[in-house]
Amino acid sequence: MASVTTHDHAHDHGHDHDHHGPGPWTRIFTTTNHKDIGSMYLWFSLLMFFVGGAMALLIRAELFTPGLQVVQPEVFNSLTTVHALVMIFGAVMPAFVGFANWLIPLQIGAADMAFPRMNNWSFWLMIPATVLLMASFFVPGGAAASGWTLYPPLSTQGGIGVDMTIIAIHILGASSIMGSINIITTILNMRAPGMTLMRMPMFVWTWLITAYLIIAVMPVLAGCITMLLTDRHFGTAFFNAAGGGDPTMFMHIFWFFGHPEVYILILPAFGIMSQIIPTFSRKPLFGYASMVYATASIAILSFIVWGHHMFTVGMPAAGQLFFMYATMLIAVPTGVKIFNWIATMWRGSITFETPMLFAIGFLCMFTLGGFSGLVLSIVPVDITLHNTYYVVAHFHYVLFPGAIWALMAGVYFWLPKWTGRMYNETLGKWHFWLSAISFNVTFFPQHFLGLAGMPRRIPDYALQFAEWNMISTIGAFALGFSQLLFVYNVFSCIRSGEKAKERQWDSADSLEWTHLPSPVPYHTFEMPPDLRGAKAVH
Amino acid sequence: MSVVADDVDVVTPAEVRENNRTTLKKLLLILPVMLAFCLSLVPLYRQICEVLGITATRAVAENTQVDRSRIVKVDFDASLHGGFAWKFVPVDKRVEIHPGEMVTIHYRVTNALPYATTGRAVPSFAPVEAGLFFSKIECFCFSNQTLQAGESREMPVTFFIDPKLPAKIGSIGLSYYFFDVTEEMKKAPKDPA
Ligand code: HEM
Ligand SMILES: [Cu+2]
Repeated sequence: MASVTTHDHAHDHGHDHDHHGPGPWTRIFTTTNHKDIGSMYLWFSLLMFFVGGAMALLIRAELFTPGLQVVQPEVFNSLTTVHALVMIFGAVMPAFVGFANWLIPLQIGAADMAFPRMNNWSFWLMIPATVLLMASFFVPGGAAASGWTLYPPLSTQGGIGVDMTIIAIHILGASSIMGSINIITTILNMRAPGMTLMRMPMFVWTWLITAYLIIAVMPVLAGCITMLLTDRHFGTAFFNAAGGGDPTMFMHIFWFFGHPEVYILILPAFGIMSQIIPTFSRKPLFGYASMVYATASIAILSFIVWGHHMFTVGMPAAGQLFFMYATMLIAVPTGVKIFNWIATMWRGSITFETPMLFAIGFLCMFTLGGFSGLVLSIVPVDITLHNTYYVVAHFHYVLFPGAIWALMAGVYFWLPKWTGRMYNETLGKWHFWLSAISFNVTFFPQHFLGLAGMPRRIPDYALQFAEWNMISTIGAFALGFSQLLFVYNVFSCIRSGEKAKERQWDSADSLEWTHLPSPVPYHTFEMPPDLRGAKAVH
Repeated sequence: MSVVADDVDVVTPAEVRENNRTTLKKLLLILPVMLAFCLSLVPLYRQICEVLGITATRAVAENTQVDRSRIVKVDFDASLHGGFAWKFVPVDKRVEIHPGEMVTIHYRVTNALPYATTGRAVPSFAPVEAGLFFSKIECFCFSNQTLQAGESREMPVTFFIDPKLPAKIGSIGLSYYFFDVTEEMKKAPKDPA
C-alpha cells in the first residue's frame, strides 16, 4: 500500500475561521467556496432525484395494470420525457459535478477551483432551468411529450411546453459547460508540486476526461435544439419534412451528442469505483495506467457509435455494420476496467462496509447492463428489440446501479470526511440490500417484457404483459421508498453521527484522507502540500 | 504506478491565475468550433445522402416516358368516417390511362352542416402494393380542409402511375376516407404542416 510521508496539517486547523461572516442565506447566494458549492450541487441533485423518482412512480403506477387508470396518455408521455431529463440533467450530472467540486481540489492539493465565481454561477443557473422544466407541466399543451430525445415531428409540434424544455436544456448545458471549464482548468493548472498527471487519483482522471466530453458535445446539443426552435418558430426546415427537411438528420445530430452523453453519466462513476474498491480491498488499484488509457479510449470511441440508436431508422448496410462493430469495440476498454476492478479485489482483505457493498453491486449490475447493451448492438437483434422494454431494462441497469449507486457509494464513502461524522452502518446495509433486491425486481422483468415485444413509452399494453408489469411496479415502489433510508441516514449522520476518524477508511490514500482532518476545514491547502519525492497516492 | 516523480514546479499564485486565463481561452475556443461542426452537419448530411444515392427521405416525382402499350383502369371511391355529416363523391368515377401519363380528376365535397367544419382525408389503395407505384402530384389529402356552412368545393387529384407497375396489376382502386377533425383543430390551433 502506498503511503504518504508528510502529515503536517497544523496549518489547516489554523484556518477554520472567516466563513462565519455573512448569514447562511447570503452565503448560499454569494459563496465561492468549492465545498459550499459542492454541497449545494449535492443537495440540489438529491432533491431532483426525488422529483424524477416521483414521476417514475407515476409512470409505474399507470403501468401497474393494463388500461388507463392514473394519467391520460398525453400526460404519460410528458412524464417519461421529463422524468428522463430531470434524472439526467438535474440529478446525475449535477451530483457528479458536486463530487468534483468537493473532491478535485482536495485530491490534487489545490485551495479551491480555478474560477470560484463562475462556479457559483454554474450552480445558480440550474435553478431557473429546472423551474422552467417543471413549470412546463402547467402550460397549455403540457410538458414536452416527445421522449427525452426530442425527436421531430413530435417536438416540432406541441405547445409552449416544448419551447420551455428547449430553453431549460440550453441553460443546463451552459451550466455544465461552465462547470467543465472550471474542472479542466483546475486539474491542469492547480495541482500541488509533485502531483503529476499520472499520480492523480482515478476520480480526478475520469472527471478530466468527462469534462472534455461535455465541452465537446454540449455545443452540438445546443445547435441541434436551436435548429428545432427555429423550425418551430422561424419557418426554417432543418427537420420539418413538409419544408424539405429531414427528421432523420435530427436523430444523427442528437445521438452524436447522445452517446457521449451516456458516457458523461458513467465515467465519473468509474472514478468513484476506482477509489472505493482498492480502499476496501486493501490493495492498490490494479493497472492504474491501463485504467487511464481505457477511460480515454472509451471517451474517444463514444464519438463514433451513435448509429447504434438508429439501426431501424434507415441506414445503408455498411453503416449498420460499422456502427455495430464500433459499438462492440467499446466493450473492450469497458471490459479492461471491469477486469481491473476484479483483479484489485483478487486476494485482497475485503471488508463489506456500505460503500463497498454498493461498489460490488455496481460491478455486478453494471456488467449485466453492459451485456444487454452488447445484445442490442447486434443489428438483427436490435431490429426486433429497438423501442421495447428491453432497451429500458438495458439503460436502467447501466444508470441506476451504475451512475446512481456509484454516487451513493461515494456519499457513504466521503460523508465521514465531509461532515466529520459517521453514517449508520446498519442502516446503510439495509439501504443497499433493499435497493439491490427491489432494483432487480423492478427492472429484470423488463427484459422479458421487451423480448416479448412490449413497446416503451406507451401507457397501456396487451394483457399478456400484465404479470411482469405488476411485479415491476411493486419493485419500483419498494425501490423508491428504500431511498428514503438514504436521506434519513445522511441527515442523522450530519446531526448526530459518531465522530469520524481523520482516516476513517484505513487504506484510503488520496490527499483528503492522508493530509486533512475530518471534517475538512473550510479552507484547505492554501499552501499546496509538497508531494515531490512522496510515493504515488493511488 | 509508483514511480517517484518531481516534475511539477512550484508556481506563484499570480502565475496560476495567468495560466488559468490562458487555459480558459483555449477551452472557450472549443465551443464555437463544436457549434460550427454541428451546423456543418446539415450540408454534410445532405451531401452524404446525395453521394450515396440515399433519396428515400426525399421522394422525387419524375414523369418518365409514357408506356402506351398498357392501359390501367383506376377507380375512385369516397367514404366518410362515422357520422361525419359531409357529402363526398368522386366527380370522375373511373379513368383508363397509360402508365406514366399525368391525369387530373376531381372529387366534390359539401359541408351540409350549418357551421364550419374541418376534415382530413386519408387515402388507401387496392391492391395495397399499387400505392408504391402511384405518384400524386397534387392532392387534398395532404392538408386539413375547412368548409364553411353549406360550402361545396371541387378538389383535384393530379397523379401518374409509375411504368414499373407490375404487369399483374391491371386495375387500381383509390379510396379516400374523410375524418372529422374539427374538435382536434380547436384543441391544437397550430397546424404543423
Ligand atoms: C458495453 C457498453 C454498451 C453498449 C454495447 C450499449 C449499447 C446500446 C445500444 C445498441 C442501444 C440502443 C438500443 C435501441 O434503442 O434499440 C443503447 C441504448 C441506450 N444506452 Fe447503452 N450501451 C452500453 C453502455 C451504456 C452505458 C454505460 C450507458 C449509460 C450510463 C448507456 C445508456 C443507454 C441509454 C440511456 C440508452 C437508451 C437511449 C434512448 O433510446 O432513450 N449504455 N445502448
Ligand atoms: Cu449509445
